Amino acid sequence: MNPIILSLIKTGIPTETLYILLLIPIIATLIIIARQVIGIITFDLYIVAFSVISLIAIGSIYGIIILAIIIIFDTIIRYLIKPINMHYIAKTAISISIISLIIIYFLYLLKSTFGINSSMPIYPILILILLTNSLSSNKIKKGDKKALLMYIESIIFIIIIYFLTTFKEIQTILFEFPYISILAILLDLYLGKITSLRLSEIIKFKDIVKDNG
Amino acid sequence: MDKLSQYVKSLHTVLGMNSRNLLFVDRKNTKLLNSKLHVKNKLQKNGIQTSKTLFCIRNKNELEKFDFSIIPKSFVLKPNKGLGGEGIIIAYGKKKKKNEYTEDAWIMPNNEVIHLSTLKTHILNILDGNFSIDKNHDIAIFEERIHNINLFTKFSKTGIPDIRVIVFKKIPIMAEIRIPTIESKGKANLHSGGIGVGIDIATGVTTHAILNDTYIEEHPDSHMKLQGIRIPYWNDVLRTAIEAIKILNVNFAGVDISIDRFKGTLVLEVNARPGLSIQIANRSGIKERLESISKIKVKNTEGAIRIAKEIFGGEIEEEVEEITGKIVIGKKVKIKINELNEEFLAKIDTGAFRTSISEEIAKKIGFGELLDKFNLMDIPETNPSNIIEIRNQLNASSSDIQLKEARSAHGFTLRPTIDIQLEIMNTNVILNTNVTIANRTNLRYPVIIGRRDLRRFLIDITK
Repeated sequence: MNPIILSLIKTGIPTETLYILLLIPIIATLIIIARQVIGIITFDLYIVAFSVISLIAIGSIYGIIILAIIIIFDTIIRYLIKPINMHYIAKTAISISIISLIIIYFLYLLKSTFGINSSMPIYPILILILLTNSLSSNKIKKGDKKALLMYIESIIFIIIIYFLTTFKEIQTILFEFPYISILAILLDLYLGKITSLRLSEIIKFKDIVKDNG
Repeated sequence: MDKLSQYVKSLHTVLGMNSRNLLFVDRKNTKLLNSKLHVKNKLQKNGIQTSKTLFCIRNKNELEKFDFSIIPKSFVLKPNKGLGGEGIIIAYGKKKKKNEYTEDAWIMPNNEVIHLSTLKTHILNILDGNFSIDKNHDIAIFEERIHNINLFTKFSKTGIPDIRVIVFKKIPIMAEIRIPTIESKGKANLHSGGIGVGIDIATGVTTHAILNDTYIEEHPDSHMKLQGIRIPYWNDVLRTAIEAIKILNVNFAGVDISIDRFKGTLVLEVNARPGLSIQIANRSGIKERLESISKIKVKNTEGAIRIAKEIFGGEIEEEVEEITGKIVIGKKVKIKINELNEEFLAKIDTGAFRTSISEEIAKKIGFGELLDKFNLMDIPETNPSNIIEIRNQLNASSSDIQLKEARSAHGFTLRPTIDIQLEIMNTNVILNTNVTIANRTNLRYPVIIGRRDLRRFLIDITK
């Protein structure tokens, strides 16, 4: 382990907190790569990064299940109340409320049926609810098909990054070489200046490229 | 390696989002350009016609007090800082009231009905900034619907097509006409499901059409052909675009222009971040075009139009193809005989009626035996009298090989013909045709293509 990390842990900073904070620059860089280099249409960097971190903080497969519950029920509720002509904020309130109640039931189910200790931290769950809501609020702005694609791509992307961070080796490597996080910032500087075509654009413009080639 | 470097080079001809946002979006002017009202005011003050603003609703207070009975039966409702056609509602007619208690309602181009209450909710969403580029508070604008010229009503009875001209350094570099569909609810924006058709800058004639980034031939609703259409008032369109850019003093922008039946060309809006699919509709990269004018300085608008036409005008040949629907080919073409899956060089001969192939090819296809029999039969060179007898002697079923009289100055000769499938290379044209088997050996061209198979082509003798 790197001496700096070692001394930091000795001062009493929890390992997990340290790990997540060191991960943030790397997750952020991955999101930039996904958007600027590959061309995946994802939501704001904050939404994606915080979703991933919330999943890490919940710390098990239950995070994914809760995310799924939020997404599925949010979609169902919005679909059901769509025909009612009402203010957007009321729709959101109804969705949040029902989802909260369902999560209570889920936690109860975990304990009673499977005997799993459901002492999950509440703040990551709240962040997930908050973020999924800002995800779906985009639906009314974009044409539905495109919003759906963006929604699905973002969620797949969030889950992929989450699973990447669950590898034990990543924590070992990060604690051994914490400079990787600083390197990520340097990479951000480079990516911030990138002007080349995105991968998705190379596919989109393949006919023009063929004509000119 | 050479191929790879050429591929990488050709990638640089296309403008992508990364370079558009970083290098070309005019940051000094984005604030001005984001606001449709500001742009329109500035243009109007300087004598450029824009679409007429009927009313504005600036906040919830104004919305409450607003008298909706003064809204005309056709209008366009836009968010002031909208992006990509989001939040725009077009209405082309008012629904008749059943009685005085029924709610006011308007008809949208996809024939859906929008009621007053839905309209109000939509305006609230606009005011909340749900459609605005910076997600802040926004203004709802009611605009007059443009009176389409006749040509445009053929594409779409209710929507409003517009012409997008991309201008860089006051020179128009690329243009497309954006045509609404039922799916786009009358909006011309490509992101909303509108069609984009590239325009040849030199002539104002449309080239390639795209819908959701894939090429199409005709309008999905009206089935109108989209290629080879001459845009009316083309010089006016270019002039308006350049003048607007001069007034706004921006480096790079897309100007949306509509042609009104009564007023002529008018500016709808100016985009700091024009969509990039226009490159697909023009089959050409913006970056390449930007580079070719990077060192040019223009003196005036007319000069800019001349330069744009000179540099970005398509080749005449392509234009001919688009207008006539016929493909231009040279004197010699490569063809493929699909029975053999083999390529041959063919000569175009408009003096011959039927296409002919050499005996070698016919033998390869499998007519060797029949041909040998025919050649042994000692048939007089000209004017044979006993055709029926010869046919019987050959004892071939007529589906395999037929005998045709080939007329010439000396009378006619009898030649065997067969059915084959020809593909003219590089044109995607496949011909199912009946060809003569030529008796001459050592022909310079193994295949000669006659008039009968040239109906879809124009021949350029200089090629």
